[in-house]
Amino acid sequence: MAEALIMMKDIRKVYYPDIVAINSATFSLFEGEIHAIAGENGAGKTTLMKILFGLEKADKGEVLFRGEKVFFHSPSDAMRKGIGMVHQHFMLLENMTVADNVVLGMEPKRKGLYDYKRACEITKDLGERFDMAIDPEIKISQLAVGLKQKVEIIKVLAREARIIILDEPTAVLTPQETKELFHQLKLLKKDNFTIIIITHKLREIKEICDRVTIMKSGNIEGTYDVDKISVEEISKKMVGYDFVVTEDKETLKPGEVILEVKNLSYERDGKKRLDDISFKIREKQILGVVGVEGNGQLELSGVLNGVIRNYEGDISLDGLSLKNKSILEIRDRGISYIPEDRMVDGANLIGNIYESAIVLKSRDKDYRKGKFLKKKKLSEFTDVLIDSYGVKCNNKYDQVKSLSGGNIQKIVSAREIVEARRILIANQPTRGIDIGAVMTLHEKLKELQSNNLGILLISSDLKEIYDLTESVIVLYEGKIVARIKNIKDVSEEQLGRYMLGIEVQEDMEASL
Amino acid sequence: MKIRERLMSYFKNRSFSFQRFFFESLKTLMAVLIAYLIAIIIIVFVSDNPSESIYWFIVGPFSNLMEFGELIKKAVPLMFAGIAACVIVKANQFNLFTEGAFYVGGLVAALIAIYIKLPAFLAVIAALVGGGLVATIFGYIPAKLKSSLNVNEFVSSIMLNFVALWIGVFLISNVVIDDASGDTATGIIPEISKLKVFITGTNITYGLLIVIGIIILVKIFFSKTLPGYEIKMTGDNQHFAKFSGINVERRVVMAQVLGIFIAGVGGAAEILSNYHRFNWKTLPGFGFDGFMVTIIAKNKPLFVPLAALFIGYLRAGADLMAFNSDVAQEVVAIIQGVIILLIASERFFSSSFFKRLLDNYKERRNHKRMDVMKNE
Amino acid sequence: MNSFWDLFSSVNFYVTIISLATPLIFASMAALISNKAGVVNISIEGTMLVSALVGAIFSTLFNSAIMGILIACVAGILMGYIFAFSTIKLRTNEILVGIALNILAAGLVIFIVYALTGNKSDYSSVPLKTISIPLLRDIPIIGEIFFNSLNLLVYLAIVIVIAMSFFLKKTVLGIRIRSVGMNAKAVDSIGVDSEKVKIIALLIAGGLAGLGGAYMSIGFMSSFNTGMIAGRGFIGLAAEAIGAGIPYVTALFAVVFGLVNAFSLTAQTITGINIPYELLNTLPYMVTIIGLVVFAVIKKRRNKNNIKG
Repeated sequence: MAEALIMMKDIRKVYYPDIVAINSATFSLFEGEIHAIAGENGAGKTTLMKILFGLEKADKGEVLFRGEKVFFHSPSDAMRKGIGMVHQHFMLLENMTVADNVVLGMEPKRKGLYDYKRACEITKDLGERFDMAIDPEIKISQLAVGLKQKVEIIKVLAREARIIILDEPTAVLTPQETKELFHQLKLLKKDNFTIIIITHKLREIKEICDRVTIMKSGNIEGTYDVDKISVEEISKKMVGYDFVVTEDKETLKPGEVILEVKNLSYERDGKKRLDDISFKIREKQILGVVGVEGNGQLELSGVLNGVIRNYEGDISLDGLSLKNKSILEIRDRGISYIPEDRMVDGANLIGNIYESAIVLKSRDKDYRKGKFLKKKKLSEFTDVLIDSYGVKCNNKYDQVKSLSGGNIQKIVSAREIVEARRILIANQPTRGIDIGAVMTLHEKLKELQSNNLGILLISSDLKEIYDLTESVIVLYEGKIVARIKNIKDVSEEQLGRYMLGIEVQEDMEASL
Repeated sequence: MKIRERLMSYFKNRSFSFQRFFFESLKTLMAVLIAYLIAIIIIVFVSDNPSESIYWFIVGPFSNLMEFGELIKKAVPLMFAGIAACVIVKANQFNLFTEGAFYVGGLVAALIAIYIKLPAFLAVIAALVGGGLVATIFGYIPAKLKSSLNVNEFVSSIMLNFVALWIGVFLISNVVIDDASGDTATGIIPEISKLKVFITGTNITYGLLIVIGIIILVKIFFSKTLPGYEIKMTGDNQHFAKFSGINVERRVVMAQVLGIFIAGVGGAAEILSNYHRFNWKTLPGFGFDGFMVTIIAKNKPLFVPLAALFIGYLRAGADLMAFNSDVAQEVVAIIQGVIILLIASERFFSSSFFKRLLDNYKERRNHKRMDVMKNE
Repeated sequence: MNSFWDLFSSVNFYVTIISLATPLIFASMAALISNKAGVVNISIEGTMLVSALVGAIFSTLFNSAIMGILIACVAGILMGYIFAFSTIKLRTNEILVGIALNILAAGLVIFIVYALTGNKSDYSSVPLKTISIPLLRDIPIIGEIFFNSLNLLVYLAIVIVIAMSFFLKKTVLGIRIRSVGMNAKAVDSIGVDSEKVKIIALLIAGGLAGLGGAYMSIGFMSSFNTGMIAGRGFIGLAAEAIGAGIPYVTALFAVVFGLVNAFSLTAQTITGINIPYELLNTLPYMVTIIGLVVFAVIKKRRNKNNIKG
């Protein structure tokens, strides 16, 4: 092949204050190929593409377009060069029609007025050309997810993009919709469009991509021709790490059942987010929940926390049902929860550390006299949290906003762990935080475990799962596809196959 | 030694950042200066004797004890309204019935004072609390509508202001009118129920002490009690509050009810301090003023009196100017408007604003350097 | 008048309704276009007040009602610009800017009236003449109501409602304004400057509020009074909320509030019905609150059904 269409050289991106999204990445793209960017969550795939599309600014490195150095300050710069992006979260106007969305910003005019008819024609023509027939006059809000994605693609095509970036395009699609999408992508390729797909679904890479670039924790592991690399090899490069057997896990014998989830199902927007899920958590047990993001983890934790109440099935804690209980009632029963989104649900960013730390403790009768807070006691409590978790700050009155993500997470988890009496649900507790903070948190989780509590650990970090848990359930599209009694019996590759839906465990042990 | 320690720990505890404090103060100062500049330009244009007008406007309130007393007297209802608005804004709500509450509180206090005979101390308390409570009944409506039906509390509370006003005007012109007054007004408020002057030589009444007491209570409420803390968390980040198990709806209502009650007491205190009869036929405007005061005070209870004194100073000066020259006192409206606009804005004179200025400067300098290099 | 029947059968009553609905229509259209761009604009009240005064002043200065109206409209646009600049460029909270501008307006008008006349409440204007259309005015009842006793601004208000609906649906700018209000991020993502679109919408809103203000001092009355807006800007906001952002429905509710207002003004003339005018005065505001509540209940029900279905 000749000269690269796009060349990104030595790109580096650090988010304020100290989160390294991309350490150093060099990436090349050839005209007419379908190129996959594969990697785990947080590997830096999306950030790299956002830099290419002008949505983020790289701290270092350069972008060459047909050998010529370019600067994309905004998406419009990138669009001018024929680059279009279909975001994972669609950028659509829900109450407008398909045609309105397609032509937004480049509206056809007739006699100075918006020519809606022409907009419909443009939409229809593009749709027919690329086999994406869609009624231009239908409102976006009435479309299924798969069709919304088509609108996004038509939008990009209408702007005469020749390079199309798709961020996790199949994450929200059903298998049939995925098939259709691939068919359309192949058509585009035939027309000499260049396509980048951000994904972590290996089967898909194999199915339609020409080359794959694998990223891991901010670095490029390599770029390969897809037909010269096996699924196993990709998987290994993607999730793999040197499996160091750290000190032996203490084998704690699980005790009584604390939490029982029975036939839990939950539907939203016409899609089953959770599908007949049953499991138990016992005392002294850390139950791992693994799965590629968006396969029901968020909904599962929402149901257990009381944020989602209209589910089917039942959840009971120590034999008593939690159905229709409020967040406060569930918390009062002894469930604690480390939220996935610490910045929104976990802490009050504009307040100080003290305020975010005492939000649960302040209700404790020992820490108040009637309605009055025992400030001294609460202050001491906060100081102890800060000390024992090693939160880096001047003092407890620092604004939460001024702390790094790892330190915020320490405060949030510290607060929740202290308050946990029966169950702790930890949703991605160590995502995006530095190794020191990870170690502290793991210590604390183990401590809880030996104190007779049950822990549900939702994580997409397999190392964490291997380090902490013994039994694991694997979620794929809202279903449990594997129940693993002892994680050490299962190789990482095998786990990866379950997570990616390549394989479903035969004779699942229902005992878990 | 102990005082010094305390002082240090105060600043330390509040994560006192000199830089932030400096920029905040500078921003307020700039806002005030710009506003004054605009006002002075206007005065110069409209006044036949601008220097005298400006003298009365700026120096007048400090010319003698009586005038200084006027300043304080004007600041007292602003403190009431300011601390009321402060409580409401802490929950991130905008219930403007504080305005109607002043009216209702004043009217009810006057009626209680006139029609219910009570011994001295009780008479005052009954009038103040009664005024506050009746106002609260009204103010509960927009609060509850917001929390359970998500009706915009802003619009509904403003409509309710007019409803309360016209009911009040109806009462004083038909039901409780005292024909002897020669006005649409209630009967004379008995001396026993009035808030007395407590600094002789001025018109400063015990209302000042009451509002200072309330401000201290509000400060304690927010810094030392569970409900106060929960209201603040709810206002700062509702997701966080809800997730942590705080009953968000209840706290939203509570903040509004408390604020309205304080405003109602404020109206009562105003009438019991400065009026012989209740004769308001329009809304007094204090409710809106309160939001202005709390904006200037950065929504911190202890800064409310300072902001109120500042507005009181503006108004006292403007009154003197209007009395002694040919400029209407409403010129302060311009100053107030400009100050709020500038203080409330995130971008005006923020530290990042300076940073941007600096960056721009550097960038331009670099460009220049590059140009020079090219030329060479 | 002897009975409600007399009231409802009098031509004057209907003319009053239309006259009182007109400022509310202007205000609600200003609220509507702001809201379409995703901005809660409570400065409409203050904008109307300032424009009412500016209109009165310049109508006498040029001895022309039309000039007064035009300059009032410009004053409204200027107020709209201050609002837009503060909220969008200086990133100030919309509600706070609204409160500030309303306080500013309330004081400013008194200041100006005093500086010009020495009194603090009134400033007389050159009023707009009523238009009487030959032939059409001869149609029984309808002719008398619609073609004999209304002025230019009333007709303009009707035109504006129709134009607004057309503008939002058929013009590129209108569509972009709606798009920005729905999802500013989506608009920015395709390279359209959403801030600019918002500013334009707010300028239009200012102009409309300006016309509403001018109507009060030039069209409805023949003088400016500092208390003459009396919450009409806020009622316009409420009408917009109840009208769910649809121009015709919003205008309809503006008319409903006009009707209540007209009723509260005229009902006291009915003999035998002894409702004091002060209590009748509460009616428009009470009806507004009730309207907001009914709308909220309907919305809540609909949402519930959606979740189930």
